[in-house]
Amino acid sequence: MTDSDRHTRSNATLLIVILIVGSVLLTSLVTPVAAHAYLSESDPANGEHVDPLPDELTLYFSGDGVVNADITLENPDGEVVSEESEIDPDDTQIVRVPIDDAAGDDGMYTVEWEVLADDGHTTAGSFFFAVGDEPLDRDAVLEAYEEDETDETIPAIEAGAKALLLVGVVGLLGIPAVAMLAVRPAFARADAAARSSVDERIGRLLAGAAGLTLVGAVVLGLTRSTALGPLSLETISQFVETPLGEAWIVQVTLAAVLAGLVTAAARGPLVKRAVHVVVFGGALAVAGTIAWTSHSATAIDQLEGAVVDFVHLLGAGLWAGGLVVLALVVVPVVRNAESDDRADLLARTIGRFSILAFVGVTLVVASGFVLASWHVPTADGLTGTIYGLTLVAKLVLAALALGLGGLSRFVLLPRLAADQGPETADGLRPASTDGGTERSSRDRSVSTVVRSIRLEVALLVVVVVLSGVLTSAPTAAVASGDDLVESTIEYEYDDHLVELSAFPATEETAGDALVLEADEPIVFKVAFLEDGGEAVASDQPVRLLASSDDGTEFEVELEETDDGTYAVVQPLADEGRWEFRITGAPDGSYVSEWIDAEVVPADEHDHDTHADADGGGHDDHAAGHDTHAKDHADHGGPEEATAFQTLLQFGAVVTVVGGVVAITLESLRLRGGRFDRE
Amino acid sequence: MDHSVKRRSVIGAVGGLAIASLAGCLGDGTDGAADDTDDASADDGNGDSDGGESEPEAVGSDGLVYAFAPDRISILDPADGDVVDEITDEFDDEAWADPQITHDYGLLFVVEQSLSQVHVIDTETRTHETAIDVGPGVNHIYHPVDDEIWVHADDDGAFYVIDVDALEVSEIVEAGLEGEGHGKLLYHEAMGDTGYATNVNDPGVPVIDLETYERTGFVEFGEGGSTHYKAYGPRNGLAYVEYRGGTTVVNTETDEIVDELEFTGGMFLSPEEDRLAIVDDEVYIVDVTSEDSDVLGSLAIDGDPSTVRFGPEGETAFVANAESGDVAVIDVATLEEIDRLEAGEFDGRNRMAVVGDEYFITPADADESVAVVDMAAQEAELIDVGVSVDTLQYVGDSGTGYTGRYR
Repeated sequence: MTDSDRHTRSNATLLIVILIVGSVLLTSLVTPVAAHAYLSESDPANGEHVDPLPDELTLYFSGDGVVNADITLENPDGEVVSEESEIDPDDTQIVRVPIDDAAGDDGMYTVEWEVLADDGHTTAGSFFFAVGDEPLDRDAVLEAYEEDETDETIPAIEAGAKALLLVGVVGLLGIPAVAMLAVRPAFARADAAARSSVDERIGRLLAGAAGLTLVGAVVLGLTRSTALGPLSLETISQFVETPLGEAWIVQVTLAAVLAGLVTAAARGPLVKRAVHVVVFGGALAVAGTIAWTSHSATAIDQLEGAVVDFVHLLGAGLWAGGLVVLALVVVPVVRNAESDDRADLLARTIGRFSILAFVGVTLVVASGFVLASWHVPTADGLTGTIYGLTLVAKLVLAALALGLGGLSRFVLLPRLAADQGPETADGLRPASTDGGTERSSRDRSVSTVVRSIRLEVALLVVVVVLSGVLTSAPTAAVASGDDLVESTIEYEYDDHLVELSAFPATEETAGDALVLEADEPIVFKVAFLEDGGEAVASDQPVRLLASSDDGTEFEVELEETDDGTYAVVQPLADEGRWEFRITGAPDGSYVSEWIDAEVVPADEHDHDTHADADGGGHDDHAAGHDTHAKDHADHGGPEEATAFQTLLQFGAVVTVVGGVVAITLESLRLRGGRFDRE
Repeated sequence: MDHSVKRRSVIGAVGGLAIASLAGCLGDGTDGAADDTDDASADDGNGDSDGGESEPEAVGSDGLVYAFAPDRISILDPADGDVVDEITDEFDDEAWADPQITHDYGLLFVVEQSLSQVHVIDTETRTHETAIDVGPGVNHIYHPVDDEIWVHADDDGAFYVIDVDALEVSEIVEAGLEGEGHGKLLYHEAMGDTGYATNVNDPGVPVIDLETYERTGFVEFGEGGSTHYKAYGPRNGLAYVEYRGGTTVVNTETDEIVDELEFTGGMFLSPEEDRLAIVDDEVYIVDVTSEDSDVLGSLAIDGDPSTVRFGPEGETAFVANAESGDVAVIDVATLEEIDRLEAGEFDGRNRMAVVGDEYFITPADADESVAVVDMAAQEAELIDVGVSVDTLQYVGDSGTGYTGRYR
C-alpha cells in the first residue's frame, strides 16, 4: 500500500463521517418549517365591501420587509386613483397607498401590487374590494383569477445566468476535489508528461469554470437589479443595498478572485495543490451565497433552507464536476499514455473517483428529496406546474446519468480491471486466422468507459442547466396554489336541473359538498337547465342564502349573466361547515335547494403571491402589527406534511442510509486494492 | 372580509327591522305574533321531516299557548299557569316572526326570518314537522283559504303560497308594485276571492285575486305615500288601511275610497265586529257598523300601548303596554281606564297579545315569563318559561280578528 492509498482511505473515512453527520442534519430538516412569501393581509381586505372608499389602502406583508413597492388601485372605470406607495419607516412590512378619488364611486376596485422584498426578490399579485353594496363584478374577479393563474413565466436571462453560475460553481467544486483526491493519486506513478498534461488540463478547466461563475454571477445580479428599475448605475446602487445585492457583491468578488487565482496558477509557478484547496474553499463560499438566496432559504427557512441547498450544490459538484475531470482531463491523457498504462490509469482514477461520486450522489439525491418535499408538496405539483415538469425532466436525466455511472462502476470498471493483464507489444492481437488484426479488448474497454463517461457528463450538464431554470421558476408549492378549479353540484328539481358552481374551489366536487377556501372571493354561479341543457330564466330573483355553523348568515341576490346563468361573488369568512340555499323560479316553478359546503383555511400560498416564490415569508415576526400579528404568525406556522412529502422525506433518509453503506463498501474495496494492478 | 359579510348581514337585518318597526307592526299581533322556528339542521332545512322515529302520540294542544323562544318552543297551559311541554328540535338562536294556526287548529305555521323559512308544528302531536323555504324578508303570514298559507316576503314584495297538504311553496304572487316592500294581506270570507295587499312602497292597495294568484288591480290612494296597517269591518263591508298618517276607508265592493280618518296605527276588531280600536298616540274607538265609520272617542294610555284585545263580551278592552310593564283595562263604553294589571317587563317596542278562551296573554320577555290575564276576574299571573319569549300563539279560537273566525 502506497502513501497515496493510505491518504485516499483516510479521506474516504473522513467523507463517511461527514456523510453520517450530514444525514443526521438532513433528517432533522425534512419537516417543512414555514410557508413561502405572501401578502398576508390588506385593508380593505380581498373581497371586502366598504363604504365609503377609504382614504388609504394598507398592505401587510410577511417574511422580509419591503424595499420598493409598486402598487396601483384602479376604480370601477379603470382609472388609477392611487398615489405613490409609502413604506412604513418603522415597519417595512407595511405599505400604505394614499387614495385620491374625489368621486369614490361605488363598484369594484382592483389592486395590483408588486414589491421588492429586502432579500431582493420580487413578488406580485392582485386583489379587489368593493365600495358600496354592489356585489363584486363576476367578470372582473374571474379575469383577476385568470391573470394570477397564468403568471408562471420564467425570466430567460435570469435562468440562463443562473445556469451558467451553477455550471461554473459545480465545476469549481468538483474539479479541484477530484483532482486532489482521485486524479493526482492515480497518476502518481505516471510519467511526468502525463502528470504535466493533467495539471495543464485541470488548470484550463478551472479557468473555464471560474469564467462561467463570474459571468453568470454578474449577469444574474444585473438582471435582478432591474426589479428596481431600468438597468443603470443608480439601479445597481439600490440593488447592492439589499441583502440579495450584498450577497451578489460577495459572489462576484469571490468569482473574480477565483478567476484571477486560476489564471495566475495556469501561468505561474503556484503550488497546484494549494491552488486547488483555495479554489475549492472559494467555490464553497460562492455556493454558500447561492444557497443563502435560494428558494429554500427565502421561502422555507433562511438557515435550514440554505444548508440543504448548499449540500445539494456540494453533492452536484462532487459528482458532476468530478465527471468533467474524468471526461476532459483523464480520458485525453490516458489515451496519450502508453498502451499498457491506459486501463490501469483509468481504472485507478475511476476507482478513487467512485468514492467521491458516491458521496456526491448521496448528498445530491438526499438533499434533492428534501428540497422536493418543500417545493413540490403534492404529486400533482410534478405535472401541473412548470417547476414540477422541469424537475421531472431533471430527475429523468439525472437517473439516466446515475444509471450510466452505475454501468461504469459496476460493469465497465471490473471489465477494465480484468483487462489489465499483459498484451502484445503493439497492443494488437490476431483477430482471426486470415491474418487480420483488431483492437485489443483492453482498448475496447477503455473506449466504452470513455463514451459512458462523456455521455454521463453531457447529461449532468443539462441537469445543472435545468437547475438554473428551476431556481428561477415559482416552486410547485407556490404555483400549485394557482391551480384553481371550479366545483359544481347538480340537483334535479321537477323538470329542471339546478346547477351550482363555485370558483375557485379547493377541489372539485367531493360527493355532494363544496370545498371552498375562507376569505377568498368566490364566484357562485347558478344555472337552471332544461333537459336539453338550455338555460332557463327565473321568474323570481335568484338568491344564495348562506349559513355557517358559527352563526354567520347572509342572503344575496345573483345577477343574470349573458349566458342565462346567475352569478354573484361572495367571500366566506368562517371556516367550517356551511349550508347554501339556492332559490329561484325557473319557468315560474319555485326551486329551493340546499347544498353543504366545507370552508377550509385559506391556503398559505394563495393566489395573491404568484409571480415569484422567492419573496421572503420564511420567518415570522414576533412583534406583529396589532391585530395582524396573529395572522402573520398563523401563516408562518408549521404545516402538516402531505403523504407525498412524507414519502420524499423517507426517500431522503433511505438515500443517506444507502449512501453510507455504499461508500463504506466502496472504501473497503479501495482498501483491498481492487482497482490497482496486481 | 368577514366584516363585509357581517355588515351586509346587519344591514339586511336592521333594514328589515327598521321597516317593520317604523311601521309599528313588529309583534303587534294584528297579523299574528312575530316569532320563528328554525330546524334547518335537523331536517337539512329542506322541508323534509325527520325520519326513522316512532309515531308521536297525538296528545293535542287545545287551549294551550305556544311560546316561541330562540332555542325552544314552550307550550303553556294558561289555566294552570304551567309549562306543560317543550319542543327543542335543535333550535338555536331562531328569529321567529308571525305564527299562524290553521282553521282546524291542527298545524301551526311560524316564520323564521334568519333563514327565510316557515316552520310547521303539528299541534296534535306537539312536534316539529318541517321547515319550508320561502322568499327573503319574510315577516307576516296569513291563512286566507283553508288549504293555503300565504307569507309575505318583503324583499320580493310578494306572497309565497304554501300548500298546507303538500307543505311546499305552490305559488308566488307578486303583490307590491315595485317588487319589494314590507307588506300585509287583508282578506275576509265576505270579500270572496279578493284580497287587498298593503305595501310600504305603494300609494294604495294592490288588489289580489286569491284564486288566480295574481295582482288584478290597484286602488290608488294618492300620488305618494305608503300603506301598511289594515282591517276589515264585516258589518259595513269597509276596509281600513293606514295611509299617510291617517286611515283610508275603502268600499271593498267598488274599490272606492269612501272616507278618511285622521289617525292610524294597529287596528283591532271587537268580538261583535262593531268596534275597531286603532292605536295611534291614543287609542281610538271607531264604530264599524255603518259606512260613516264614526269615531266614538279616544283615550290616552301611558306606557306605550301596543296591542288591544277586547274581552269576550266586548265591554272591556285590554291594552298591552310595551314600556310600563302592565296591561291597561279599558271600559269600552265610557272609554275610561279602569285598572292596571302587572304583566312583567317587555324589552321590545311592540308588545303583542293574544286572547283565547277567557285569557288575555302577552309576553314579558325581560322577565322570561308570559303574562296571563283572566279577563273576567281581571287578574294577572306570570308564567315563568325560563327563556325570553316575545311571540305567542293560542291553539283554539282567538276571537274575532284573529285565527279562527277571521282568516
